[in-house]
Amino acid sequence: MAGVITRRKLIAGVAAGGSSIALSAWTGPTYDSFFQDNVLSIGQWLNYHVQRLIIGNALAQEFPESDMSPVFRTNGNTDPGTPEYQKLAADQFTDWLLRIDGLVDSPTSYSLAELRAMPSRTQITRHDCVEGWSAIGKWTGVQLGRLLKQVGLQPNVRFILFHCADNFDGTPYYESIDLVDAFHPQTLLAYAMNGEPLSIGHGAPLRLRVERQLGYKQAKYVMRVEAVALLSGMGGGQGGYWEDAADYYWYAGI
Amino acid sequence: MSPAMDAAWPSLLDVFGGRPSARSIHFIIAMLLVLFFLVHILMVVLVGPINEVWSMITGRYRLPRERH
Repeated sequence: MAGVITRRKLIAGVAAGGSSIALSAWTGPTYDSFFQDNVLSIGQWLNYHVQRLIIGNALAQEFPESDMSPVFRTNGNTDPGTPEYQKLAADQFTDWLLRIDGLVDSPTSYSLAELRAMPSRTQITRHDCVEGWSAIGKWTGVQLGRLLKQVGLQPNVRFILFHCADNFDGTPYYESIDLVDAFHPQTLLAYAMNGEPLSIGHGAPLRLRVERQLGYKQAKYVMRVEAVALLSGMGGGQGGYWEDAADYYWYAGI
Repeated sequence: MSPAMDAAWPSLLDVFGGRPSARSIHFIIAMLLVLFFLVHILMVVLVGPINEVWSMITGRYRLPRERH
Protein backbone atom coordinates (compact mmCIF):
# COMPACT_ATOMS: atom_id res chain seq x y z
CA MET A 1 0.00 0.00 0.00
CA ALA A 2 0.90 3.61 0.01
CA GLY A 3 4.06 4.51 1.90
CA VAL A 4 5.80 1.12 1.54
CA ILE A 5 8.41 2.68 -0.68
CA THR A 6 8.51 6.44 -0.72
CA ARG A 7 10.13 8.31 -3.54
CA ARG A 8 12.85 9.49 -1.17
CA LYS A 9 13.70 5.94 -0.05
CA LEU A 10 13.79 4.80 -3.67
CA ILE A 11 16.20 7.52 -4.71
CA ALA A 12 18.43 6.78 -1.70
CA GLY A 13 18.38 3.07 -2.51
CA VAL A 14 19.23 3.55 -6.18
CA ALA A 15 22.06 5.91 -5.19
CA ALA A 16 23.46 3.41 -2.67
CA GLY A 17 23.21 0.51 -5.11
CA GLY A 18 24.70 2.49 -7.95
CA SER A 19 27.61 3.74 -5.90
CA SER A 20 28.47 0.23 -4.70
CA ILE A 21 28.50 -1.00 -8.31
CA ALA A 22 30.66 1.98 -9.30
CA LEU A 23 32.99 1.28 -6.37
CA SER A 24 33.45 -2.38 -7.30
CA ALA A 25 34.16 -1.36 -10.88
CA TRP A 26 36.67 1.16 -9.61
CA THR A 27 38.59 -1.28 -7.42
CA GLY A 28 38.44 -3.90 -10.14
CA PRO A 29 37.27 -7.48 -9.79
CA THR A 30 38.97 -9.09 -6.85
CA TYR A 31 40.50 -12.46 -7.64
CA ASP A 32 38.30 -15.20 -6.32
CA SER A 33 39.55 -18.70 -7.00
CA PHE A 34 36.31 -20.27 -5.78
CA PHE A 35 34.36 -18.25 -8.34
CA GLN A 36 36.96 -19.09 -11.00
CA ASP A 37 36.96 -22.83 -10.27
CA ASN A 38 33.25 -23.36 -9.73
CA VAL A 39 31.45 -20.82 -11.89
CA LEU A 40 33.68 -19.50 -14.67
CA SER A 41 35.06 -22.97 -15.40
CA ILE A 42 31.53 -24.18 -16.22
CA GLY A 43 31.31 -21.44 -18.84
CA GLN A 44 34.64 -22.50 -20.28
CA TRP A 45 33.60 -26.15 -20.45
CA LEU A 46 30.32 -25.25 -22.16
CA ASN A 47 32.01 -22.87 -24.58
CA TYR A 48 34.62 -25.47 -25.56
CA HIS A 49 32.13 -28.28 -26.18
CA VAL A 50 29.47 -26.19 -27.89
CA GLN A 51 32.07 -24.67 -30.23
CA ARG A 52 33.51 -28.09 -31.02
CA LEU A 53 29.97 -29.22 -31.90
CA ILE A 54 29.27 -26.20 -34.12
CA ILE A 55 32.65 -25.90 -35.76
CA GLY A 56 33.54 -29.53 -36.44
CA ASN A 57 36.51 -29.61 -38.75
CA ALA A 58 35.83 -26.26 -40.45
CA LEU A 59 38.89 -24.51 -41.86
CA ALA A 60 39.95 -21.07 -40.72
CA GLN A 61 39.51 -18.44 -43.41
CA GLU A 62 42.45 -18.11 -45.81
CA PHE A 63 43.24 -14.85 -47.57
CA PRO A 64 44.82 -13.74 -50.85
CA GLU A 65 48.36 -12.31 -50.77
CA SER A 66 46.95 -8.82 -51.28
CA ASP A 67 45.40 -8.98 -47.80
CA MET A 68 48.68 -9.64 -46.02
CA SER A 69 49.55 -7.13 -43.30
CA PRO A 70 52.48 -4.87 -44.23
CA VAL A 71 53.66 -5.05 -40.62
CA PHE A 72 53.14 -8.14 -38.52
CA ARG A 73 54.07 -7.15 -35.01
CA THR A 74 56.09 -9.43 -32.77
CA ASN A 75 54.55 -10.00 -29.40
CA GLY A 76 55.32 -11.76 -26.13
CA ASN A 77 58.94 -12.87 -26.01
CA THR A 78 60.87 -11.70 -29.07
CA ASP A 79 64.12 -13.53 -28.26
CA PRO A 80 64.63 -16.38 -25.77
CA GLY A 81 68.12 -14.92 -25.10
CA THR A 82 69.45 -18.01 -23.31
CA PRO A 83 73.04 -19.12 -24.06
CA GLU A 84 71.79 -22.44 -25.52
CA TYR A 85 69.39 -20.65 -27.83
CA GLN A 86 71.98 -18.06 -28.90
CA LYS A 87 74.35 -20.88 -29.80
CA LEU A 88 71.66 -22.56 -31.95
CA ALA A 89 70.77 -19.28 -33.63
CA ALA A 90 74.43 -18.48 -34.38
CA ASP A 91 74.62 -21.67 -36.45
CA GLN A 92 71.32 -20.94 -38.25
CA PHE A 93 69.76 -23.76 -36.22
CA THR A 94 71.72 -26.47 -38.06
CA ASP A 95 72.35 -28.20 -34.71
CA TRP A 96 68.77 -27.77 -33.60
CA LEU A 97 66.58 -30.85 -33.28
CA LEU A 98 62.85 -31.07 -32.72
CA ARG A 99 62.18 -33.87 -30.28
CA ILE A 100 58.79 -35.62 -30.46
CA ASP A 101 58.26 -37.94 -27.53
CA GLY A 102 55.98 -38.74 -24.61
CA LEU A 103 53.29 -41.39 -25.15
CA VAL A 104 54.38 -42.26 -28.68
CA ASP A 105 55.46 -45.55 -30.27
CA SER A 106 58.74 -44.27 -31.69
CA PRO A 107 60.16 -41.07 -30.20
CA THR A 108 61.94 -39.22 -32.99
CA SER A 109 64.12 -36.15 -33.47
CA TYR A 110 63.91 -34.06 -36.62
CA SER A 111 66.43 -31.55 -37.91
CA LEU A 112 65.26 -28.36 -39.57
CA ALA A 113 66.49 -29.69 -42.94
CA GLU A 114 64.44 -32.85 -42.48
CA LEU A 115 61.32 -30.86 -41.66
CA ARG A 116 61.85 -28.61 -44.69
CA ALA A 117 62.21 -31.70 -46.92
CA MET A 118 58.81 -33.02 -45.86
CA PRO A 119 55.57 -32.19 -47.70
CA SER A 120 54.56 -28.70 -46.58
CA ARG A 121 51.46 -26.58 -46.34
CA THR A 122 51.30 -22.83 -46.94
CA GLN A 123 48.40 -20.78 -45.68
CA ILE A 124 47.59 -17.08 -45.40
CA THR A 125 45.61 -16.64 -42.22
CA ARG A 126 44.73 -14.05 -39.65
CA HIS A 127 46.48 -14.12 -36.29
CA ASP A 128 44.12 -12.87 -33.57
CA CYS A 129 45.73 -11.69 -30.36
CA VAL A 130 43.94 -11.82 -27.02
CA GLU A 131 44.94 -8.14 -26.69
CA GLY A 132 42.57 -7.25 -29.54
CA TRP A 133 44.86 -6.70 -32.52
CA SER A 134 45.13 -8.99 -35.50
CA ALA A 135 47.44 -9.41 -38.48
CA ILE A 136 47.41 -11.49 -41.65
CA GLY A 137 50.51 -13.49 -42.51
CA LYS A 138 51.65 -16.37 -44.67
CA TRP A 139 52.83 -19.49 -42.87
CA THR A 140 54.65 -22.49 -44.28
CA GLY A 141 55.35 -25.64 -42.35
CA VAL A 142 54.73 -29.30 -41.75
CA GLN A 143 51.27 -30.39 -40.70
CA LEU A 144 51.50 -31.49 -37.08
CA GLY A 145 49.17 -34.43 -37.79
CA ARG A 146 51.64 -35.80 -40.33
CA LEU A 147 54.44 -35.86 -37.73
CA LEU A 148 52.19 -37.37 -35.07
CA LYS A 149 51.20 -40.18 -37.45
CA GLN A 150 54.89 -40.86 -38.13
CA VAL A 151 55.79 -41.26 -34.48
CA GLY A 152 52.51 -43.07 -33.67
CA LEU A 153 50.36 -41.90 -30.75
CA GLN A 154 49.47 -44.35 -28.01
CA PRO A 155 45.74 -44.83 -27.33
CA ASN A 156 45.71 -42.90 -24.04
CA VAL A 157 47.04 -39.65 -25.54
CA ARG A 158 44.63 -36.74 -25.12
CA PHE A 159 46.80 -33.63 -25.46
CA ILE A 160 49.87 -32.45 -27.32
CA LEU A 161 52.29 -30.29 -25.32
CA PHE A 162 54.74 -27.82 -26.86
CA HIS A 163 57.88 -27.02 -24.90
CA CYS A 164 59.46 -23.72 -25.88
CA ALA A 165 62.93 -22.17 -25.56
CA ASP A 166 61.66 -18.85 -24.17
CA ASN A 167 60.69 -18.05 -20.61
CA PHE A 168 59.16 -15.27 -18.54
CA ASP A 169 61.36 -14.57 -15.49
CA GLY A 170 62.63 -18.12 -15.54
CA THR A 171 59.24 -19.80 -16.03
CA PRO A 172 59.35 -21.62 -19.36
CA TYR A 173 56.71 -20.94 -21.98
CA TYR A 174 54.64 -23.90 -23.04
CA GLU A 175 51.29 -24.56 -24.62
CA SER A 176 48.98 -27.48 -25.32
CA ILE A 177 46.15 -28.42 -27.66
CA ASP A 178 43.71 -31.29 -27.94
CA LEU A 179 43.84 -33.96 -30.65
CA VAL A 180 41.05 -32.35 -32.71
CA ASP A 181 43.27 -29.32 -33.27
CA ALA A 182 46.47 -31.41 -33.43
CA PHE A 183 45.17 -33.29 -36.46
CA HIS A 184 43.42 -30.29 -38.07
CA PRO A 185 44.83 -29.77 -41.58
CA GLN A 186 45.76 -26.13 -40.84
CA THR A 187 47.67 -26.93 -37.66
CA LEU A 188 51.31 -26.51 -38.65
CA LEU A 189 54.75 -26.49 -37.16
CA ALA A 190 55.81 -23.51 -39.25
CA TYR A 191 59.41 -22.80 -40.26
CA ALA A 192 58.68 -19.97 -42.70
CA MET A 193 56.67 -16.77 -42.56
CA ASN A 194 55.76 -14.56 -45.52
CA GLY A 195 58.00 -16.71 -47.75
CA GLU A 196 61.13 -16.34 -45.61
CA PRO A 197 62.68 -18.41 -42.83
CA LEU A 198 60.99 -17.64 -39.54
CA SER A 199 62.72 -14.70 -37.84
CA ILE A 200 63.80 -14.84 -34.22
CA GLY A 201 61.13 -12.30 -33.33
CA HIS A 202 58.43 -14.57 -34.75
CA GLY A 203 59.72 -17.77 -33.15
CA ALA A 204 62.66 -19.23 -35.08
CA PRO A 205 63.29 -21.97 -35.89
CA LEU A 206 59.79 -23.41 -35.47
CA ARG A 207 56.47 -22.20 -34.17
CA LEU A 208 53.05 -23.66 -33.79
CA ARG A 209 50.10 -22.43 -35.87
CA VAL A 210 46.66 -23.37 -34.53
CA GLU A 211 44.58 -21.17 -36.75
CA ARG A 212 41.25 -21.46 -34.94
CA GLN A 213 42.60 -20.22 -31.62
CA LEU A 214 44.06 -16.98 -30.23
CA GLY A 215 47.66 -15.85 -30.46
CA TYR A 216 48.90 -17.14 -27.12
CA LYS A 217 48.37 -20.70 -28.42
CA GLN A 218 50.78 -20.07 -31.33
CA ALA A 219 53.82 -21.14 -29.31
CA LYS A 220 57.14 -19.82 -30.61
CA TYR A 221 60.61 -21.41 -30.32
CA VAL A 222 59.19 -24.94 -30.15
CA MET A 223 61.93 -27.33 -29.00
CA ARG A 224 59.99 -30.40 -28.04
CA VAL A 225 56.55 -31.87 -28.73
CA GLU A 226 55.22 -34.22 -26.10
CA ALA A 227 52.15 -36.45 -26.27
CA VAL A 228 50.44 -36.66 -22.87
CA ALA A 229 47.31 -38.07 -21.27
CA LEU A 230 46.95 -35.27 -18.71
CA LEU A 231 47.91 -31.61 -18.51
CA SER A 232 48.51 -31.73 -14.76
CA GLY A 233 52.12 -32.88 -15.07
CA MET A 234 53.47 -29.66 -16.58
CA GLY A 235 53.99 -26.23 -15.00
CA GLY A 236 50.96 -25.13 -13.01
CA GLY A 237 48.83 -27.83 -14.61
CA GLN A 238 46.55 -25.52 -16.58
CA GLY A 239 47.97 -26.42 -19.98
CA GLY A 240 50.00 -23.33 -20.81
CA TYR A 241 52.15 -20.50 -19.51
CA TRP A 242 49.42 -17.83 -19.60
CA GLU A 243 46.83 -20.32 -18.38
CA ASP A 244 49.02 -20.87 -15.29
CA ALA A 245 50.19 -17.29 -14.83
CA ALA A 246 47.04 -15.29 -15.50
CA ASP A 247 44.07 -17.69 -15.69
CA TYR A 248 43.75 -17.49 -19.46
CA TYR A 249 41.26 -20.02 -20.72
CA TRP A 250 42.94 -23.16 -22.00
CA TYR A 251 40.56 -23.32 -24.97
CA ALA A 252 41.31 -20.16 -26.92
CA GLY A 253 38.72 -20.46 -29.70
CA ILE A 254 36.80 -17.97 -27.48
CA MET B 1 34.08 -12.62 -34.09
CA SER B 2 36.33 -15.14 -32.39
CA PRO B 3 38.82 -17.17 -34.44
CA ALA B 4 36.83 -20.37 -33.96
CA MET B 5 33.46 -18.84 -34.90
CA ASP B 6 35.06 -17.15 -37.90
CA ALA B 7 36.10 -20.60 -39.09
CA ALA B 8 32.57 -21.94 -38.67
CA TRP B 9 30.67 -18.99 -40.09
CA PRO B 10 32.99 -16.59 -41.95
CA SER B 11 29.97 -14.77 -43.42
CA LEU B 12 29.12 -13.44 -39.94
CA LEU B 13 31.92 -10.93 -40.41
CA ASP B 14 30.34 -9.66 -43.63
CA VAL B 15 26.89 -9.48 -42.04
CA PHE B 16 28.21 -7.15 -39.33
CA GLY B 17 30.56 -5.25 -41.61
CA GLY B 18 33.80 -6.48 -40.03
CA ARG B 19 35.05 -6.79 -36.49
CA PRO B 20 35.15 -3.16 -35.35
CA SER B 21 31.57 -2.52 -36.39
CA ALA B 22 30.48 -5.88 -34.93
CA ARG B 23 31.97 -4.75 -31.61
CA SER B 24 30.18 -1.40 -31.79
CA ILE B 25 26.84 -3.03 -32.62
CA HIS B 26 27.38 -5.52 -29.80
CA PHE B 27 28.09 -2.89 -27.16
CA ILE B 28 25.37 -0.48 -28.26
CA ILE B 29 22.72 -3.22 -28.18
CA ALA B 30 24.08 -4.59 -24.89
CA MET B 31 23.85 -1.13 -23.30
CA LEU B 32 20.32 -0.64 -24.66
CA LEU B 33 19.29 -3.98 -23.14
CA VAL B 34 20.75 -2.99 -19.78
CA LEU B 35 18.90 0.31 -19.98
CA PHE B 36 15.68 -1.52 -20.90
CA PHE B 37 16.04 -3.78 -17.84
CA LEU B 38 16.82 -0.91 -15.48
CA VAL B 39 13.85 1.19 -16.63
CA HIS B 40 11.40 -1.68 -16.44
CA ILE B 41 12.61 -2.90 -13.05
CA LEU B 42 12.32 0.67 -11.79
CA MET B 43 8.74 0.82 -13.07
CA VAL B 44 7.83 -2.42 -11.28
CA VAL B 45 9.36 -1.13 -8.06
CA LEU B 46 7.53 2.19 -8.32
CA VAL B 47 4.15 0.58 -8.93
CA GLY B 48 4.56 -1.78 -5.96
CA PRO B 49 6.76 -4.79 -6.54
CA ILE B 50 4.78 -7.46 -4.69
CA ASN B 51 1.42 -6.65 -6.26
CA GLU B 52 3.05 -6.24 -9.68
CA VAL B 53 5.04 -9.51 -9.69
CA TRP B 54 2.03 -11.36 -8.25
CA SER B 55 -0.10 -10.03 -11.12
CA MET B 56 2.44 -11.27 -13.67
CA ILE B 57 2.07 -14.81 -12.29
CA THR B 58 -1.65 -14.96 -11.48
CA GLY B 59 -3.14 -12.33 -13.75
CA ARG B 60 -4.95 -10.77 -10.77
CA TYR B 61 -4.11 -7.17 -10.09
CA ARG B 62 -5.19 -5.73 -6.79
CA LEU B 63 -6.48 -2.19 -7.27
CA PRO B 64 -5.91 0.33 -4.54
CA ARG B 65 -8.95 1.08 -2.40
CA GLU B 66 -10.73 4.12 -3.71
CA ARG B 67 -10.09 7.21 -1.69
CA HIS B 68 -12.83 9.80 -1.22
